[in-house]
Amino acid sequence: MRLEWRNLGKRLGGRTILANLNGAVEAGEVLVVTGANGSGKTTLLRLLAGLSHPTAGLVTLANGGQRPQPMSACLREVGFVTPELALYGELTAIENLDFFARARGLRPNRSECRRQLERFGLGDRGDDELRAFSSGMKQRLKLAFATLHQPHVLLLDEPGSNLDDAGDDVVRQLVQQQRGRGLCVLATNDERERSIGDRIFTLGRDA
Amino acid sequence: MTGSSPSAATLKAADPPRITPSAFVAAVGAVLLKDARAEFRTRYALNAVVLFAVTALVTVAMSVDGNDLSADARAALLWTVVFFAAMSGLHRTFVREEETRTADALRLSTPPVAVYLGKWAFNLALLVALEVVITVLFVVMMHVRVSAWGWYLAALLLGDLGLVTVCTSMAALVARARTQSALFAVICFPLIVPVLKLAVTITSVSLGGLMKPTLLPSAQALFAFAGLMFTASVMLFEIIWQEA
Repeated sequence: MRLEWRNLGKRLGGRTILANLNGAVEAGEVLVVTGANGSGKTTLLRLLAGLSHPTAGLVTLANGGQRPQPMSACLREVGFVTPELALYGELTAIENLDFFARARGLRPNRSECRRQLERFGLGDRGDDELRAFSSGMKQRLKLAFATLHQPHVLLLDEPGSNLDDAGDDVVRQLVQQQRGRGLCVLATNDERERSIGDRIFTLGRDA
Repeated sequence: MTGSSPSAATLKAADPPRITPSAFVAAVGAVLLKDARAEFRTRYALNAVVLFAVTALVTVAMSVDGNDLSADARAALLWTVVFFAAMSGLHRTFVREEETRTADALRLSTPPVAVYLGKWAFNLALLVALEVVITVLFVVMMHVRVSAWGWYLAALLLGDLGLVTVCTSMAALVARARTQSALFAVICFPLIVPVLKLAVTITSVSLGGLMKPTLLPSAQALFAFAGLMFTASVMLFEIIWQEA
């Protein structure tokens, strides 16, 4: 498996956010993307997720011996956590996971969703609506949502935001597990999170 | 609160990005159920839609006697109320996804056409529920007598199909715009006028109006329009739904 981007560029609101970016991540690898505020970390991860279309260049995912596919065709292979993405506040944690699993074509049952919540330290809050959750608990649920379908590509944008020390350990273990499942790109400026990666890609310097 | 180890998950992906027909139907049902559940808890669209419809009908009922109105006028009044109620509520289904920043989670997890069909079905259910209320109020408060229930229900059903198809597609189109409500009304207007014209013609006959030779062609034209719009919407939705 190989996630690759070539000559990647993105303009937003008449301003160039990213230009002529090249890179790749292989299976089992964890790439850390760093850069100053406004350097385009979140924009890059949205492009890699296939959620945003580049104004120049291409992002592709090659799986096994298959021909590389544009990322926009592989959305459902992606697990993505970013501060810009939210889950449904009027649904309970269990209902959120159940909905997203069914929407992905999985056949979950309540106990499987509950086990997924337990993995992220939310086992006792499954029947509470999200609007009653703290920021840290919402972040944990987003991590549970992103890994529910065992994605080949895990993209984590500031995964440790609002998390306590135990939550940071969960992120660390999650990233290690992802090595055996596919690849991971982690956007962060946090020193501890940077140490998880195999390589560091600095926007504004490497790009 | 402590975090336990996120050991290997038990759910296996269903060979993405392909999705089986049964999984696709399940995804459509999941979107419909999710929207219905959220609506039941927040009354987000329902309040806007029902409040407008009831207020408009009560105001008119207090001002004029329904018996004084011709069948054409009664039919036009009915569809005016349905139209404005639809305009005030049906676009919320996509706007809310963008406002609450849940749209990306939906894009990542759900096939685009399943999103469209789920939301289309939810809007249709909402409009049908509204029309049950409107019909009761219409009959009781405006003293309207429906002389041909078959044509009345056919007019509502066909009109709803056209209205919901146009509104759901246009709602997705304007969801990320700054002035969604104004834009929604403007771009819906030319597409909804033919739906309303045809629906009023059929409804008028069902309310005791003169049997017109254009009745059956009107029903056929409304069905064809709704079918055409639906097909085009399903084909184009993926482009509309993707972010630029």
